This record gives sequence, structure tokens and C-alpha cells, in this order.
Amino acid sequence: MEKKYRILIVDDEESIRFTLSCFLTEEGYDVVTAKNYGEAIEMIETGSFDMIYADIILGGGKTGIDVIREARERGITCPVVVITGAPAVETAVEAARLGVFDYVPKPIRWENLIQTTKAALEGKDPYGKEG
Amino acid sequence: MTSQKSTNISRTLTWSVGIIFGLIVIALPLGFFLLSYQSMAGNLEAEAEDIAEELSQVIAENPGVWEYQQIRYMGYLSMRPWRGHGEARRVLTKEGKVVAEKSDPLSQPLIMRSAEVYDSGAVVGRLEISRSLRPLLNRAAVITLAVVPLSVAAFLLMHMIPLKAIKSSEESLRASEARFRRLSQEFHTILNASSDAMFLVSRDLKVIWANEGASVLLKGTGGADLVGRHCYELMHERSSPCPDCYLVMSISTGQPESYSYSSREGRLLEARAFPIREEDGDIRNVLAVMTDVTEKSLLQAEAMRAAHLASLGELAAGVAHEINNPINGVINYAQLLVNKSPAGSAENEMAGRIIKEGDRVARIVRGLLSFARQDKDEKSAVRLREILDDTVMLTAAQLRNDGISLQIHVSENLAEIIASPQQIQQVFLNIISNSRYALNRKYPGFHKDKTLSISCENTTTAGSPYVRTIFYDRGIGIPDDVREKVLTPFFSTKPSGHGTGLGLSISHSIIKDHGGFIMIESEEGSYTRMIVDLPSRRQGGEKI
Repeated sequence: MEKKYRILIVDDEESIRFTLSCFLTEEGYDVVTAKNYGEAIEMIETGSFDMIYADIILGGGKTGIDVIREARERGITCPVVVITGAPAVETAVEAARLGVFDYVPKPIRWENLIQTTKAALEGKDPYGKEG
Repeated sequence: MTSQKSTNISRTLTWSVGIIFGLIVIALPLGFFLLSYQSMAGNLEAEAEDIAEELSQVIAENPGVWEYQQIRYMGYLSMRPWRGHGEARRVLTKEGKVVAEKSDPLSQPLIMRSAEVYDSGAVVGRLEISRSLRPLLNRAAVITLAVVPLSVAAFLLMHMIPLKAIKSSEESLRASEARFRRLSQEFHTILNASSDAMFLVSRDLKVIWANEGASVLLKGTGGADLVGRHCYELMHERSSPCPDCYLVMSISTGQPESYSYSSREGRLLEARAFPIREEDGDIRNVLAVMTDVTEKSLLQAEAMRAAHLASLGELAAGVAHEINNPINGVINYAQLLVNKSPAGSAENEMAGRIIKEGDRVARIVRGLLSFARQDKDEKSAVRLREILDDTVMLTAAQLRNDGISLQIHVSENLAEIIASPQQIQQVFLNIISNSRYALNRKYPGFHKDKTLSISCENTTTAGSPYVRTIFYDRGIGIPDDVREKVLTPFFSTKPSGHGTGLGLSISHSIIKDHGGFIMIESEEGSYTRMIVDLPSRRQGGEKI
């Protein structure tokens, strides 16, 4: 039986969490969502993920970059895709330094989401690593 | 002029003082002599009369024999008024025959006075008394000798003091004149250096003086050419004063007045009039100052536009996140409808339209964001290598995913550039994105020529140092007929949804803002070479 990849979506926008979750679930992925930094860290601590989608602006003074940094510090090396409604070179460089797989400005389209997810997870497969 | 005048004053003073002291030198001993002479003569006369009277009394005691009584007269002739004052006293007949005489040795010149001697009431002879004038002359000479050096000293003193005062005032005047000349020159230089047109007009609006700025504005060849002509003739080609002339108004109100108008050449001028009051309070002249505010007005308009655009940019940046999130939700919900509705159904079609319109909103927001970023970033001295490294780090994953191999060559000792790193990164990202597109179009899968080469080197253009970055890809290239248009805003060769047509135009405007150039070399179906030259800071002793 093929392994069911587990994906974490971190976004403060309910509509994004819901729709992305629908798209990925339909593709057969196991999707979990977090609406803020605290929830995201809690889920990273309690579960394991094959991929993470993280929005930059999460509210409460925290960002998706903080989530990624925290995840990297905990030794989680799964592919991370940053999604943002306010793309900027500064945050893109910061994300790249943390080794993110991609940096996607919103709106992230369905086709793009599926393609990026597959590419990220396929890129992970040869190494057989788990988040 | 002043020196000549003061020399004349000095000479006149010298002569006046000289004459005064010359007269003193002459008058004082002469006056002394004359007064003493008069006194001596009076004394002698009184003395002669007294003695003659006493002799007449002696003669009256023995009438008729007066000529033989010399011994009786000798007592009177031997008397002297005071010691040491020599005299010669003689008694003579009417015929001049000496009857008796008692004389001291006397030096010439002499003063002599006589009185008649009577015998029985008839004049029989006379008594003569003589004295030497030498002692008097000697005293006058002593006085002269005393007065001359005193007078010379007084003359010199009187001569020197006014001269010193004159010289001092002359020097003060000369310094004052020099200061005035210097001030005048400075004022003229300042007034002529001013780009404002300034001219002084009389009450009848005739130009009395004008600076170079006025000459330029009024198309004269020099300030002097304007002098004597009416301002309304010079400025407005009129034969009479303009209605509501601000200069006339300033003269009548005695207050500064201002006025704005457009010149014949279309320049916007701000004119101000300043009345000049004389000591008696009358206004005879008025100073006109005209400032060309065309550029200032344009700059103000530009600044307002920039401020407006900046606030628009800030607004765009601020709301982009707020717009992108819900629009992403709208698009995604519509996508769910598309996915769940039968293809070709009305729901499916309408959901598709929602997605399309949502994409349009997202593209507009993205364009505004690019614009906002373009304005806010500040420039500093940066190394292009670092910008390139950051850019490559951002795109390496995408290029790798696309199967594009990246070759980078950066020459050593690359000069620093003055730039906004974020803006240059934006340009490089855009160019790399275009190369990706071109390579993916030409080679959808893996290919040995699916390569992007980036090189950086120092270069010199028209004697100025630049850092040249070349992006070379063997993609689909750019057709000849569109190569000139790719820098135009909203021009895009990509299919709908793949480009806004703003990327290269924004890149072009960013590089232009940095004082650099973007050049495009391309051959359709073969290659594209994007060359970005950015001005660099030349390093000491560096050979380029």
C-alpha cells in the first residue's frame, strides 16, 4: 500500500486553510491545519509531517518564517513551501536561507499547489527522509 | 580725489598757521619797541620840560646873564632818572650854541627831546635830553629771539595736529570708501549671481538699474540695455502701463505687492515689488524681483504626484496581504466548484469566470506591490556578488526543478555598486524568471543546452566604470519585431496568466534609476543575452 503523505498547512486565513486542505485531501494527502504559530508548533511537536505549507503573516507578531526556524531547530527537514500575500525579496531571502523548497506568492492556484506538492514530495522520496 | 582735497586743505592750513606765526614773530618785538619808544619819548619830553622849567627859575634869579651861569645848571644836567640809564643833557642858545653840557657815552641810534628855556618870560634857548635806543633795540632783539623758536614750535605743533587729524580722517575715509566699494562689488556680484530678475524702476516705470537675471529674462544683452526703458514695454510690449500693475500698486500703497503671471515664452513667473522710501518718506523708486517658478511648480507638482503615488504604493503594500488572502480564498472556492461540477455546466463555467477575474485582481495587486517596492528602497554601496548569490539562492530550487543548469562566473575584484539590493534582486529575479520561461518553452524536459549562464565583470563605458552582468540562455529567444517593445509596460509575449507585462519595464526603470542600462541581444529560437550595466565605484589602482 502506497504511503499517505501527511501535510501541515499553517495559515491564519480560514478560507485558505479550508480550500488548500480540500485540494490536497482530494489528491489523497493527509492534511492537518494550524491557524497560528502556537498551533503549528504544537502540531510539529506532537506529530510528524512530510511537508509543510506556511503562510508568512500569521498574526500575533509571529510569522511562518518563525515556524520554519523553530521546525529546523527541532531537526525537522521536510520540504517547506512558503505562501504569502505580501511577497518581498527580504522574506524570500530569509526563507531561502532556511532551505525552503519554494516561495509562492498568493494566490496559489490549485494546479500550482498540486504540482508544487508533488515536486516537493518527489524530491524528498529518493532520500527516504521523514519529517 | 579725496587725497588731493586733503592735500589742499593741509597746504592752506600750513600757510595760514605759518602766516599767523610769522606775523606774531614780527608784531611782538615791533609792538614792544614802538610802545617802549613812545613811553621813552613821553618820559624824555616830561623830563625836559621839568628841567627846563627849573632852569628857567634859576635864570630868573639873575636875568640877562644866563649864558654865563653854567655851574648853576650842571647840577640839573648831572641828574639821571635811574642808575645805569645814560643820557646827554645840553643847554643851548636859540642859535644852537652849547651853553652847558653833561653827556654820558651813548650808542647810536639816539632819541632826543627838548624844552624851551625862558629868561624874563622870553625864550632864550632850549634844553635837549638824548638817550640811546640801543638798550630798547636789544630788548626787542631778545624778545624776537625768544619769540621765533616759540613761534616755530607753536607753528609746527599747530601744523602737525591738524595734519594728523586730517590724515586720520583721510585714512578713515579711504577705508570707508574701500569698504563701500567692496560692499558694492559684493552686492553687485550677489545680485548678478541671483537667478532672479531684479530691476529698479522710477515712478514713471522707467528702468533705472537691472541685474543680469533681468537682462536674461527680458532678453537684453546687458543690464544697461534695459536702463531708461519702460518696464511695460520691455516685458509686455505695451505702450502704456499694464492695468492693475503691481509696481504702481506698490508705489501707491507703500507696501510690498506680489503678482504671478506667465511670460511670453510660457515661463511661470512670480513677481514681487518692494517700494523704496527716501529719507523724506516719499517713494520714488520700486524694486521688482521676478522669480522663475516654472521648475519649482513642476517639481512641486511632481513631488505631490510622487507623494500621492508613494501613499498609493504604501496603501497597496498594506492592503496587498489583505486582498491576496480573500482573493485566494475566492479563487480556491471557485476551483472547488469547478472540480465538483460537470464540465460544460453553467456552474462550471461561472466558477471558471470567478477564477479568471480573481486572477486579474491578484495581478493588479502584484503590479502595485512592485511599484511600491520600487520607490521605497534606499541605495547604498553593495557588492554585486552578494546580490547575485541571494538571487541564485532564491531561484536555485526552481531552476533545479526545471532541469536548468546554472553556470556562474564572477570576476575577481568586482567593484562595488551604489544600489538598492532589493531592487537589483528584483531585476535579476525577473530576468532569471524570463530565462526559465524561455528555456522551459524550448526544452520542456531535460536537455544538455538547458543552461543559464550568468557572468559579472568590471567594464568601462564612455570613460565611466560599470559592473556588467550578463544573463545568457539558449531558450526560445525574442523575435526581432518585439525586441524593442519588451521594455514597454504591460507588453508581454507570454500567454495570458503567465505574465503581467510589467516585469521588464519595471526592471528597466529600476536600472535607469540606478544610472545603468539594460541591453538585449537575442535571436529567435536561438538565444537571449540580457546585459545589465550598473555604475560602479572605481577602486584605487584598479585596471579595468
